[in-house]
Amino acid sequence: MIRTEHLSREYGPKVALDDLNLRVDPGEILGFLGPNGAGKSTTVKILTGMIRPTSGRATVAGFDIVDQALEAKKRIGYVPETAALYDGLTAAEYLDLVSALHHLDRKTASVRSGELLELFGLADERHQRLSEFSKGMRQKVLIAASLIHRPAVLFLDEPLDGLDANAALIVKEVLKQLAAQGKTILFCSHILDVVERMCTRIVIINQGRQIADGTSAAIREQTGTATLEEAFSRLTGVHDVERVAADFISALERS
Amino acid sequence: MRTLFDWLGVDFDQWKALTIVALKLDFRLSAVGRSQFRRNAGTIAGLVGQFIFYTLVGAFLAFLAWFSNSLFLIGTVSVSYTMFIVGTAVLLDHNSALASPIDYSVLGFRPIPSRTYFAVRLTNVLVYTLTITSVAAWLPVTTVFVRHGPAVGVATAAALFGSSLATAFSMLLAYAWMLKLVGADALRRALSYVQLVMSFLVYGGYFFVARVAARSVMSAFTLTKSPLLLLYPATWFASYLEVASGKTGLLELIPAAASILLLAGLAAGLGGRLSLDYSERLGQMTTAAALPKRAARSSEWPAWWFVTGEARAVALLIRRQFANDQRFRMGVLGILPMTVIYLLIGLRDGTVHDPFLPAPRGGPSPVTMVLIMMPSLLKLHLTRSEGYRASWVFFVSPADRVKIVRASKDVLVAFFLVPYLIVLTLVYTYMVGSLWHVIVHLALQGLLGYLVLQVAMLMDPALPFSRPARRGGNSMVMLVFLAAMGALSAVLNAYSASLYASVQSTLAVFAAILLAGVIVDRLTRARVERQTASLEFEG
Repeated sequence: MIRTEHLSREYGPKVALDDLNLRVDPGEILGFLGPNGAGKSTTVKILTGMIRPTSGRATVAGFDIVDQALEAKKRIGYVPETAALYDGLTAAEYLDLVSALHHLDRKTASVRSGELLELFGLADERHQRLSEFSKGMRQKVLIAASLIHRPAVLFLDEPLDGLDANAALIVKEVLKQLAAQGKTILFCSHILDVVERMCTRIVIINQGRQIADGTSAAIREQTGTATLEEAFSRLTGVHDVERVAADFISALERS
Repeated sequence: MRTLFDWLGVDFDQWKALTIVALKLDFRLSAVGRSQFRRNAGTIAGLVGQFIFYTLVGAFLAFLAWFSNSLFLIGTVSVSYTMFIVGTAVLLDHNSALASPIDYSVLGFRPIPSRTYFAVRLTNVLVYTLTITSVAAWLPVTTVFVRHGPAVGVATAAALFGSSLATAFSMLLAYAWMLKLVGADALRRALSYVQLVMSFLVYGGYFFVARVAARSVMSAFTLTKSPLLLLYPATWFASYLEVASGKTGLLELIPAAASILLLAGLAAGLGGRLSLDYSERLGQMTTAAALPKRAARSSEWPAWWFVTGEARAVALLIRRQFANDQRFRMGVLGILPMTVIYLLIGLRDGTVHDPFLPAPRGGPSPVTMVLIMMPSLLKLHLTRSEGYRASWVFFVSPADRVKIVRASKDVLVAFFLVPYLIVLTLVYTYMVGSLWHVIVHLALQGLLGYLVLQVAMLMDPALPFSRPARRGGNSMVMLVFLAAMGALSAVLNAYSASLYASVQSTLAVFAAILLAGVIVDRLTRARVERQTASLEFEG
C-alpha cells in the first residue's frame, strides 16, 4: 500500500534521499532503519505529505502523495519523531481535534478517545493539559491520535520512545494485530532487537540510498553476521565499535 | 453558513474545530507551565489589564469626539488610532500567526485543505483584532452617538471596524504574499524584513496622527482637508461620519467609496489563489530550516570582556538567538524604525537640537524616548521565546543564576545599547553639530536608559529566553511605555539647557544618576538573589 519510485529529495546541495524505490504491502510491518541523518525522517515526511520530493513519485493507499495529498492523508496515521503537540490542550481535547479533522462524529470520537486513553492508562489524566504530561505520556497521546481514525497506513517514527515497558508491550501487540488485519505499517526505530522481532521485512538506508532489503535473517546472511545489530554496523560503515569507543573515551580524558 | 464555507472551498467542520482550538491556545498561552490557580489568575489579570488599557485609548478618543465639532477630525484621529493599535497588535503579538512552524509539524500530515488552514489563521487574527477594536471603540462610538446623533454614531462604528479589518487584512496579505514570492530558503529571514517595513508604516502612521491631532487640538479641534491628507487611508474611513451627517460632496463620497473598494480588494486578495497553496508554502518554510547553513563564527568572535562562564554563555546565547530566533531579532530590529522616524520628526519639530541651547519648542523628544526605552524593551524580548524549554540548561547546570541575570543585562548594554549610542551620536552630530554636546547629552540619556533597565531587572528578574512567548501582552506594554517615556523625555527636553548650564550642574546630574544606579544595583543584587533562587523551569 506504500510505493515509491526513484524518490529523491535535496536540500540545496545536500542530497537527503537518493532514488529510493520502496514497496510495502498490506499486512506488512516494514522496519525502516538507518543511522542518524540517513534520510529516514525525510522519507516519512514525504510519504505523509509534509514535504515534497525533488523528483520521483510516491503513492500511499493508492493515492499520489503530491497530486492527491488530501485523499492519501485521510488514510494515514503518523507518530512523528518529535512529539509535536499543542501543549495548551488537554489529552481529550487533542483527540477531539484530531477526530474532527478526520470528520468522525462526536459520539464515535468520544467512544474511541475514551477507549484509547483507557488502553494507555491515561483515563484519569484526560482533562490535564499536555504541557504537564511526561515524555512517555505525550507519546501515548500521539499513538492514540494516530489510531483514532482507523487509518489504513501507519507511519511510526520511534513510536516506543519514552514509553514504559508495559505500554511498549501493548503498542507492539497492537501493531501486530493491526498488521494481521491488513494495515500497512512503516516502522522507524533504532532499537534493533524490537525491529527484528516485530517486522516482517527490513529496509536499511544510508546517506539517502537504500543499502539492504529483506528479512532479518536474509540481511544477516548477506553480511555474514550473527545479529542484526552487527549487520547494521557493517552495512553503515562502523566496523570496529570497540576502537571507536576507546578513541571517544581517550578524547574525553585528553581535553 | 456551511453552504457559504463550501462555496469558499473551506471545510466547515475542520475550520470550526481548528478555530476553537486556536482561540483556546491563545487564551491559555500566556500561562503555560504554571499552577491551575496562577494560570487562571494570570490569564484573567492579563485580560483585565488589556481591557483597561484599550478603554483608556477609547476615552481619549471620546474626549476628542465630545469637544470637537469637526467630524472629519474625529473620524481621522479615531480611525488612525484604531489602525495603529491593530497594526501594533498584529506586528508584535501575531507576527507568527500566519507562519507558525508548530502548526505544520502538528497538522501538516492531516487532511486539511490549504484554504481551510488559511481561513483558520485569518479568523484567529480577526477575532483578536476585532475584540481590541470593540474595547477601544465603545466609548468614542457612544460619545459620537450622543453628541452628534445616532446616524453618525453608527457611521463611526462602521469606520472603526472597517479600518480595523482593512489593517488586519493588509498586514496578513503582505505576509501571505511574501510567503508566495520569496523562495523557501529565504523566507524566514525575509519575513523579518517585511515586519521591519511594516514597523516603519505603523510607527510612522502613529506619529503622523499624533502630530495631526496635536496641531488640530491647538487650532480649536478642527482639521483642514487637503489633497495630500486625502491620500491617507484613515481619512477614507473617516469620511463615513461626514456622509452620515448629510455632507455628500465628492470629497466625502469618493474617499468613502475608496475605503469600500480597498476592503473588497483586500478580501478578494486573501480569498484568491493566495490561500490555495498557503499551507504548502508554509511547509516549505518549515523544511527550509533543514538547509545546510553557513557555519556560525561565534567562536572567532572576541568576547573577551565577558570573562565568567555565565557571562560568556549568555553572550553566546544572545548572539546566536539574534541570528536564528525571528521573534527576538524582530524585537531588536523593530526599534530601528522608531529611531529613524523619531529622528526625522525630532529634526523637523525642533526637539533634535543642540542640547546645550534652550529647546525651540516644548513637548516630548522622540529620540530621547527611544533611547531611554530601548534597553528595557530589549529586556522584554530577551526573556520570552518559542524555545523557552531549552532553558532547562540554566536549572541543571551549576551556573549562578544571579550572574546569568546580571550578565544578560551587561550583554544587552554591550551588544545593543553601546553600538546604538555610537550610531546615534554620529547621526545626531551630523544633524546638529557640536560633537561634545551630543556626547554629553546622549551619555546622560544612555545612563538613564541603563537605570530604567536596572529597575526593570529589579522588578522582574528573569533568565534569558526562559518564558513561553505570549500574545496580547507586548503591544500593551509597548504603548504604556511610550506614554511614560514621553513624559520623561518632555521633562528632559525642557530642562536640558539648564542641566548643562555649568560644568558643576552637569556633573551633579551625572553623579545623581550614577548614584541612583549604584543604589538600584545594590537592591537588585539582594532581590535578584532571592528571586532567582525561587525561579522554576517553565517547560
